[in-house]
Amino acid sequence: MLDRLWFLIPEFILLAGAMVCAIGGISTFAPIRKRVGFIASIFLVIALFSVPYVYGQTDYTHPETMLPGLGKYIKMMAAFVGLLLVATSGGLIDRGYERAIGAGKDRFDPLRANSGEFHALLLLSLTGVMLICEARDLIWLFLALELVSLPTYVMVAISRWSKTAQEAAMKYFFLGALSAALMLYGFALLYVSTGTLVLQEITEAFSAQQNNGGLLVIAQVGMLLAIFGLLYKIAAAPMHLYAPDVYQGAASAVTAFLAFVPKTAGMIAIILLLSTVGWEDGLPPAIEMALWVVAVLTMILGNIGALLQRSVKRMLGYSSIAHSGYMLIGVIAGPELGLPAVLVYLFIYGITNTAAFATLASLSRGGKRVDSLEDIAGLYTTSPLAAASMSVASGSLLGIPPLFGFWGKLLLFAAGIAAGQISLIIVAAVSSAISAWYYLRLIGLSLLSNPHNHGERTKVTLRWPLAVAVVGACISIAGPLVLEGVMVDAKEAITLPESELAMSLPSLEVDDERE
Amino acid sequence: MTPWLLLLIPLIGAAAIFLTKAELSKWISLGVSLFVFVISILMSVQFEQWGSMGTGLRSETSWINSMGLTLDLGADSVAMMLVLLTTLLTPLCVWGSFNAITSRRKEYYAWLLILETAMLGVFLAQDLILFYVSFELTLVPMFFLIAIYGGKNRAHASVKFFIYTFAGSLFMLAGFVYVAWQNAQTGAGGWSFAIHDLAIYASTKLSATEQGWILLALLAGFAVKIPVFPVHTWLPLAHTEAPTAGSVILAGVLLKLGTFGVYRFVLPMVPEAVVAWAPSIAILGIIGILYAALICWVQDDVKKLVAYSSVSHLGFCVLGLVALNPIGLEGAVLYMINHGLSTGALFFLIGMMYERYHTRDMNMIGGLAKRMPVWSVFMVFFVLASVGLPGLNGFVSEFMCLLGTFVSSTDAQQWPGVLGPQYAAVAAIGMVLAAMYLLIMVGKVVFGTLKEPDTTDRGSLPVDLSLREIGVLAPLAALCIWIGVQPTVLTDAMRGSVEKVLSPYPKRVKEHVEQQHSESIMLKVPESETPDKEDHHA
Amino acid sequence: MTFSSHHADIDFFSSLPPRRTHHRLGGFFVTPNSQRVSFDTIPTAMDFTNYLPVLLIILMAVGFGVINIVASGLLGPKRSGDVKDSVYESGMNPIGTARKRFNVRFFILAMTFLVFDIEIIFLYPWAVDFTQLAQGSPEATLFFGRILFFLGTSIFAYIYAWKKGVFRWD
Repeated sequence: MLDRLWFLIPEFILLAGAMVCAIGGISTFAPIRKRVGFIASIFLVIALFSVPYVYGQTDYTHPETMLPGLGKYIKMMAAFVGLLLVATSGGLIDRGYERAIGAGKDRFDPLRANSGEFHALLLLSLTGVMLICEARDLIWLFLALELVSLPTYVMVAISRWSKTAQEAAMKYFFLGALSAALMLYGFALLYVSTGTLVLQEITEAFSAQQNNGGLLVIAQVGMLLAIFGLLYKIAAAPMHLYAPDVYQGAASAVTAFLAFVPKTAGMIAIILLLSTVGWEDGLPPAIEMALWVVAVLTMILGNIGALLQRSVKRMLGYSSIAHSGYMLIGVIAGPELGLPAVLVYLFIYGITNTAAFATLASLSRGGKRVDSLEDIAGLYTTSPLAAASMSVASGSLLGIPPLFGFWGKLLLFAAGIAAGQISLIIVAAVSSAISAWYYLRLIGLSLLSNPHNHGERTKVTLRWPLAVAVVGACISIAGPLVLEGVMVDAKEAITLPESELAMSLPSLEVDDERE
Repeated sequence: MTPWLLLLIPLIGAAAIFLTKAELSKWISLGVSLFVFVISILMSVQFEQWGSMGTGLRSETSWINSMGLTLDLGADSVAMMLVLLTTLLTPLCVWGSFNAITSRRKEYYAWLLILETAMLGVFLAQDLILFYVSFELTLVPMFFLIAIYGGKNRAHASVKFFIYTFAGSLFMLAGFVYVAWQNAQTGAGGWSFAIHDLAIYASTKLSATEQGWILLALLAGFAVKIPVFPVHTWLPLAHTEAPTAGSVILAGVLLKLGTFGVYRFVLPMVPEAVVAWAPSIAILGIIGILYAALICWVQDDVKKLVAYSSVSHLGFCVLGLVALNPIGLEGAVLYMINHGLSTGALFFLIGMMYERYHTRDMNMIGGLAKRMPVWSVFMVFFVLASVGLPGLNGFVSEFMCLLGTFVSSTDAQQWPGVLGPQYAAVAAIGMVLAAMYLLIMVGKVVFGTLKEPDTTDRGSLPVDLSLREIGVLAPLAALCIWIGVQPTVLTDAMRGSVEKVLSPYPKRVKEHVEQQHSESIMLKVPESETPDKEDHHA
Repeated sequence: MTFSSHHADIDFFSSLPPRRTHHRLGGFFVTPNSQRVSFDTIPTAMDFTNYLPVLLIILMAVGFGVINIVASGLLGPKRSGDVKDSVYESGMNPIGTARKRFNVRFFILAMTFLVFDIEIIFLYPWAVDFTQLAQGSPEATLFFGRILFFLGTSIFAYIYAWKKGVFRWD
């Protein structure tokens, strides 16, 4: 048991970080309050570097979790992208309040300061993502998923002092509760059909059922319900409807967070759940069919929805829906090529999408946050750097070679084709082509259009988000150089250890012995 | 010399442009592109594979081992010719833009150099994914060249150009990956994207149905680029709106990426499907020839006219490609080069005219021979080259394409094909139409009474061509004459490569013919067994 | 009734390679000797004897209310008036608009109370399970360490709430 705790060291580091941030944020000493973001970053860096150490010390391949290697990859990815996300939210919370206090116009009141809570919640949510990888039973999985989600509701609400943010938070919370209920009901049915909550034992039960003539209907229904609950987390159709509203309502930095962290959590959870069924003989037809329909709907609705938007954030919101659809191709394709492709794609998507939102977060026009397409028109005249980052990020999301995003898509395409899902690939190709239209619009507006004459020019007002955008753009360009390493890591994360393979295929062994 | 020089030097030049002053950018890019040209000339002198089927200029770099991706480069004789065409046209384009580009100069010249890298990457790639990356990378600089420096309708044109090609090539990518996956499955060393290996694998191991689907997928990418008739609509718009250098590169090299793709991938990879589909492709090509020619006839805009003439001319190239005999294929490859030279030059000339008169409307300009004699001489010369005047380059390749189509019948001895005289006969109408619309254009613009529009504003330019402009056109003219007089130098040089591409075809065509024959017999057999028939015989 | 996973009578598990047994300590949801149902039949009958205490509590709760009402009706003095006849609502006036604004501090305090209240409830099942473990065994130590960690986070939350000014009323 202690050795399991050993693997939770990164999580403990982040938890400690969350505590320090929460207390630091209400310190009466202003320099500490203003540097909560730095404190959070320091803990994230420690967590990031602790992961290789933790996994290097002990053999992690003994089968207790479904995919024992997953933690290493996901934790490093979460910590790394988490760093970018913390920097993206630099200057977002309490900026005006601290300025007023500094100028002596206001008095410090701990109840009105939010910075500490914001960063603490951010770290807690990332902790949740890390915990999912270590999930060994459904209870753990559910609690970890909720640990991811609950902080995000609050983060949306406190990210802006506006009614839209409150509305977004309410919407997000209630629909999130609904999806959690669906998921929980699914888990309950899984328990009913297998008599256990432990994922390993569910796997055994399922393989036993499959040897006895297929999965029980109730198990399939449970799996489907659980997956449908999780579709909310990854913002896939038909559970995607909240995404544009919430993404638009929240501040850009929080939107970047929403578009990556819950999505990663949901994706891993889906992978974990499906790995109890296993891809060896193909997913059960009902589940595969449902995932197929969901993937197709998500790609098409996401991309077509994005075409119709006049708000950049809504557009990127729809685009992130579409990206979930692409990733589902990998989920359907299975562990050999598909799941590593999903993991690589998550990493690439996390960086480029964060870069795109970070560009928005760094900008303001006439003291207001940037939202509509008009606002970014002619961005190159005031900030070539922001315009270039925006364009590179869009290009990478579109998948223009040789940017990083292309390679993610290539891997997913290859996985889909290798799994025989030609029809899915055709849909993906068509919808990618559709997506070119709106990504080009982003590129064209920021790099090519003339700024609108009326109103003020859009300017860069926050430096940290811009730095993130530039870093993200640089990674998008230089990423292919490290692609091999990422792919190898992703492959390792998915590869089942030998002993587990033997266990998940009990029937084969029995036959061998009898013969 | 390593081929990487060709790819990296322009990129370094582009970086240098970003780091220096805008005034220097044009000189840096001219210097860099000329340097690349000199290097490519040196390479072609050392190139040992002229006339043979081998691949020279090889460089092997492993990259992503788990997917079998490499950065292998190399060129056979045909690719080498297109490399030379590219390295020649790029400095000319840079030089030709000295006066036209006044704002955002740094980006302009940097994009031109990046474009050069991308185009050379397409011709040099020995790895499918590297090819695809380069193929797609050409879109980005061209998108910006059109969208920043283009005409009034540039936003629409650039987006349409991008989306058409992007959408098509996604299917192409799917086709490539499918072949690679099939190859990986059979176990010979796992994933590999080496063009040579995959071509051998696909042409020998895949079933006819699979080949058919792959043909469709690949054509989705290449046909848009060529462009073949139903998917050509992006081209006139892009050409018309692009800046002069953009149009030149577009006509000169980018369209050749499509035909080169057919030559490099479609023909070697899926011979069975090509044999089955060749008539349909040829018919599309012929429709393109005639339809575009008729559109040219009614154009007022000179640039649009030349743009549509590209669609028409590339139709001949397509015909040559699917003629499946050396004459046709050599004609097609030669056509790629000739079209790049003469149409590129025409776009230069139109650009020079536009810089002086700021209109391209034939009804507003006329009789320029009186005002600009040197320009007019070049104009008439390149129009004649384009029309196919014997002695100039266009004639040779057009004739070879048509001849190849003409003799490409199933009963030909050495190189049977599936087309025939009827295709050539219909396509030949296109030559007549080409002469008509191009000569009408020359008649209106060059000869007749002098008409100069109100928008005339020569700026710092002389009335007639400056030395710089003559310097841009002269090398192209010289090449046109040289190829027209001595085409055998080029056709001999490419013969090995062409015959290697065609090597599986005679057998495939015979099989195809026999299969059709047996099918028709099978259809006839029940007929002959009916009592009616027997009675009739009796 | 209980099918342990180690019984040999479930044949398709007997052929499995031996695997580590998980002591699901603190098994709030899965008791240490987990009840495993067989897989080809969904359980149809349930043993309700486990639910007897629940039934007793329900009976007690209902009985408490009923007895009180009946007893006060029988024994108490009967005087009526406007105030006496109105519903008892802990001092609030039950008639009037329900959309009345409370000071937000009520909510914060109430929620803080709830959090700690529930955390205390969590100690009960922990204590019940703890007594089943052998004292001094490594498992018991770990089990004890866990609750200390849990209490630590609670104390941290308390300090945080205090510093945040949740308990301040000015």
